[in-house]
Amino acid sequence: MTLANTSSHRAQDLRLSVLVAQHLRKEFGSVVAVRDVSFTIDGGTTFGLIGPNGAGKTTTMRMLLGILTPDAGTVTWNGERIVGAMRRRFGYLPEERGLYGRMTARDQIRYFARLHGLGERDAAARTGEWIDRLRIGAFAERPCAELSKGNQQKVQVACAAVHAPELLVLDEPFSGLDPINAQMLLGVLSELRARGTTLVLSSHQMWQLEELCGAFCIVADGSNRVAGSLRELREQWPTRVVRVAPVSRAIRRVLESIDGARALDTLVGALQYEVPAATPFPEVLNRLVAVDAVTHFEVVEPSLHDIYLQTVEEYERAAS
Amino acid sequence: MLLRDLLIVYRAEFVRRLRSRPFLIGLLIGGLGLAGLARLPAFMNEHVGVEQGRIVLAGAPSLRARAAQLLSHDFVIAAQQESTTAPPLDRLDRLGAGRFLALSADGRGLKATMYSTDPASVDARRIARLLLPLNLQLGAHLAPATAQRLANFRVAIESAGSTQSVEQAQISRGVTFTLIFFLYLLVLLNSQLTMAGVIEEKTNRIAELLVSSVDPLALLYGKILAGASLGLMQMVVWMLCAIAAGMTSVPGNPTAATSATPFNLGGALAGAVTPSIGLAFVFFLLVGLLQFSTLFAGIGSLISRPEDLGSINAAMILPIISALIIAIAALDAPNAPVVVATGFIPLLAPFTMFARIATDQPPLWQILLSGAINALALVAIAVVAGRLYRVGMLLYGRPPTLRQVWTTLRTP
Repeated sequence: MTLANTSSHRAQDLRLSVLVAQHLRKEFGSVVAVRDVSFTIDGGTTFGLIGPNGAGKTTTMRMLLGILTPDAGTVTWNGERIVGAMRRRFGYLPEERGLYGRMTARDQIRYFARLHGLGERDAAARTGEWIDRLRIGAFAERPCAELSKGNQQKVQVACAAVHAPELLVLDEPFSGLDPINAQMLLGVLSELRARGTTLVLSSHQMWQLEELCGAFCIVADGSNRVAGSLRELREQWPTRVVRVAPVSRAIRRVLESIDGARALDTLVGALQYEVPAATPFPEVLNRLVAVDAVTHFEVVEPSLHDIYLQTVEEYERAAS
Repeated sequence: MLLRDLLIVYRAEFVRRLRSRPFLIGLLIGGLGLAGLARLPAFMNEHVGVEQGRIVLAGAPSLRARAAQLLSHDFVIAAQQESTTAPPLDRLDRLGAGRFLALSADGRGLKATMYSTDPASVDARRIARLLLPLNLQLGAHLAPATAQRLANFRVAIESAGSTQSVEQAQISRGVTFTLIFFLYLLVLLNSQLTMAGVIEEKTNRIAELLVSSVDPLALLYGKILAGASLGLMQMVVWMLCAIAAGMTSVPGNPTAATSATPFNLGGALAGAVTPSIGLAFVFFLLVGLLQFSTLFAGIGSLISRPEDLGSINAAMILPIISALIIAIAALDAPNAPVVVATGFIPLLAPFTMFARIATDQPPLWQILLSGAINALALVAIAVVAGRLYRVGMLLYGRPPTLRQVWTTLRTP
């Protein structure tokens, strides 16, 4: 059996895996870090866990990995509760990064490979592969403290993924990376996903999450606010934005006649209105064409960024 | 699996610390320092006391001749003169002498006056003892041989309940002191190194990556065992340095300190350290190292900022210093109630029980009970430190309150 076949079978097996978090709760003294978080992640997919600072994302990630034990609720991987021994099949890139300053990059990656259960030879071979993949061969024998921040981050990514984990949790993986290295990391994550690794990401870079993730969970104040694929989130979204050009009184009158319509700031040469998602858009277009010479008509789907902002703002309004 | 992880952590930690600059500098400076300390008493004896060891004798020729005979074993007679008037200081300096001894006699015996550039260093009793035969000869009108015989009266000293001679007992005492000093240095340095390592991992934020990869207990115990192994290695190196330097004196051994005959630590160790004392030393060294290192590591995991290390450290080393003080007291009174009691108390016992075993023969049941209590205490400290470490390594910001620490300890 070739290596390609083996990894292809492994990828298929991993795609059958599933991570289920149910009603997770974690308190630290009088502080409730996570109130009630639930979601399901299919194997081999990429999941975005997003939320404002202090929302409980890092604590949730630590519970997914078995680093912290939930006060209530459960986390299962393929139906089994996450226990200590299972953790070596997972990988984690924490938000706060750290390395042994005096240890060389190669030794560091190999050490983590060994900690994750690889034998001496395997660990050395995989370390070499990752050093090549991340193009840090020129610095591999240097102490990590002497590496640039970007290269240190690459070493940390390698430490987290060197053992080809079944589940890889990355907390703000793109922070501190320049665009070229961010692109390289995107490529690495895509490769891992192709090999069947389930990815859980937290980031404030919404465009990167939108590009990478198949499903999302927005957390605020320790609880799920919305969860699902971007398509599902959009379908649940109650409004759409309509952009119409040119700017004219006739067009404005038609748009304002829609039930629940709300005028937004005017773009250069176009009107923008927020309207209910259930609005019959073909009918609206017909009416617009009938009253003026329409040069542009666009129904804008909400981006992840829009959904995130609105979800968090709505929650904060309700909470205050 | 825990054992496998522990061995991986142990190996990595051992190599990492062995290659670290602080360890290598400590090993080198410690070795050189102990070698220097080993030579220090001899150096002091040879150089600092030179001037005070040279005497100018003054008085009638017959008195000077006999006194010179009696004093020549302990002092160098730099010059002799008839006049008993003390010479000016610059003349003493020219002769390289620090003392001027004026002798005269009347019908009642010898009269002696010592002038010294450093009067505090004059041991009047010793000089009187040395000149006693001359005093008896002059005061009691005895023949010189009779006077010498009477003056040689000595109280015999024998060790009760021990087969050691007095000289051997003195050497043993010195060697025991040296071993306790090694124990103190190793426990202090390694506990602090272990705590610094834990704090480093926490402050450089690698801790989170580590505990996501491996059981925190494997991480903690691997680190502690590596520290203990390095401590033993350090001790062997230091001891070899001290032996190689050749001790001309052993601290706490007054006879050797003033003796003109040098002896080396290697010989003293071979003579004084029986297999049972050696075994007790290794056992209590390991127990002490592990107890303190584990405790320091557990407490260190609660510290988030290196600047907090100083205040915690000061409080943490108090038990080590207390144990050292009690152990030194145990050299003189190994069966004093306080010493016997502290021989069972964890953290103190590695020092005091070892001191008792090395200087006396405590009952076997006391040794076994102390060993058992301390082994159990080590397990208890390991459990407590493990709980603190598991939570503490992920705790950042303000130091935890006592209530939080208590809650952590109660969480299985």
